[in-house]
Amino acid sequence: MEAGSPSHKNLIPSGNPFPSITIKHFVQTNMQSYSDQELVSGVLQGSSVHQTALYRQFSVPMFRVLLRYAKDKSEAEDMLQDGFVRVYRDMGQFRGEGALGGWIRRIMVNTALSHLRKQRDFVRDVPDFNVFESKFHTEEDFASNLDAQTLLSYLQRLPPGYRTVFNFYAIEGFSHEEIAEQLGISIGTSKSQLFKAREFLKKILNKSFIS
Amino acid sequence: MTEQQAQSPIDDLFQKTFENLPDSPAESGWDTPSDRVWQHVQAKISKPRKIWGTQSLVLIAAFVLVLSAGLYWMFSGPTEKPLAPPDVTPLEQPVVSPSSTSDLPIENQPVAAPKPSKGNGTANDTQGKPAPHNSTEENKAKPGNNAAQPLPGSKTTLPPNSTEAAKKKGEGN
Repeated sequence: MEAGSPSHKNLIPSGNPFPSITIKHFVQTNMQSYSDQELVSGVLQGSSVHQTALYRQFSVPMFRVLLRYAKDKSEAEDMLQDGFVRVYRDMGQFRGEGALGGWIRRIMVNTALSHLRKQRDFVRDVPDFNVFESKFHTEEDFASNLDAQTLLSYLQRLPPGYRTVFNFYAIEGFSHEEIAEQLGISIGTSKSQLFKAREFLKKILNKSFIS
Repeated sequence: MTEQQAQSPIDDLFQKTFENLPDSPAESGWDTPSDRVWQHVQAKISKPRKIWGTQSLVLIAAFVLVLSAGLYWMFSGPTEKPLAPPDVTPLEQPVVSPSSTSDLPIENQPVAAPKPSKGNGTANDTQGKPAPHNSTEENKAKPGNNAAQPLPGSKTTLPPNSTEAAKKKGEGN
């Protein structure tokens, strides 16, 4: 992340910087970038420019992470909202020892876990796979091009426990011991949930390749 | 994350796909949050922090109230020391009817409850005050009044705030 040049910074007015520009436009135009230090100090001083810049810089990568934990886009947006409120609130706790993005990502994952824990028995076995298989009989699901969006749609249709354990183990790289500690389950349950998640995804992928 | 984990081809597929996404958001917008997220975040973080909350204000008001009540109680008490109780041993006496009480000389009639006098303690201080209520019920309730009545044949001891004592005190002065 490069620091923005001073001349660019002066172009941004104080107060509400872009009242008529939506965040989507904001993200796509990539108008200004700040270093981690600039963002942190600006947010701590209550600068709305830096608050907006922080959101603009990290909203898309964090939203991609949360989409993997959520069952749909709406739930991921709720997680993102709560996560960013925590980020702004706890910014004083960032010590600058690592990258700001890594710190924000940990907050987002913890926020996702808090949301998932509120669901009753979110880590549980789902014996009847056919119930879920029936949801995949659409052209979109069996698309041959396995891009991120398609894989995400498969992942989001896993039961919450399978999805969370698969995310932690296969994508985030946690061990079963760490997953068990994070989710408050046994190591055996973590292994079982991962095995079933893989089996489920295999079925879906095989079907998509065949079609 | 410390140990070498057993990765399956499915794990690799998902990991590589999600780790190698381009920095810019997709054209379709599947990975871009809607505008309402930022609006809600902005609304939450722009709320001014209350320095003095309602709860703390109520606590401070209660503290001030208790403190002022304590100070009032401490400084608004009687400035003069209360009179010492009469040095008379209470004795059992027969109940005297109001008619017989009125036959007693004025010196021996029961006196109203002692009040802190602002005057010089002369007999004039007692004048103009309402007459003592000599009902039998009240005499029973107040043993000090019974003690003021002399026993037949016993040495009469006057309470210090009686009219007789006031007279004697005035003569002494």
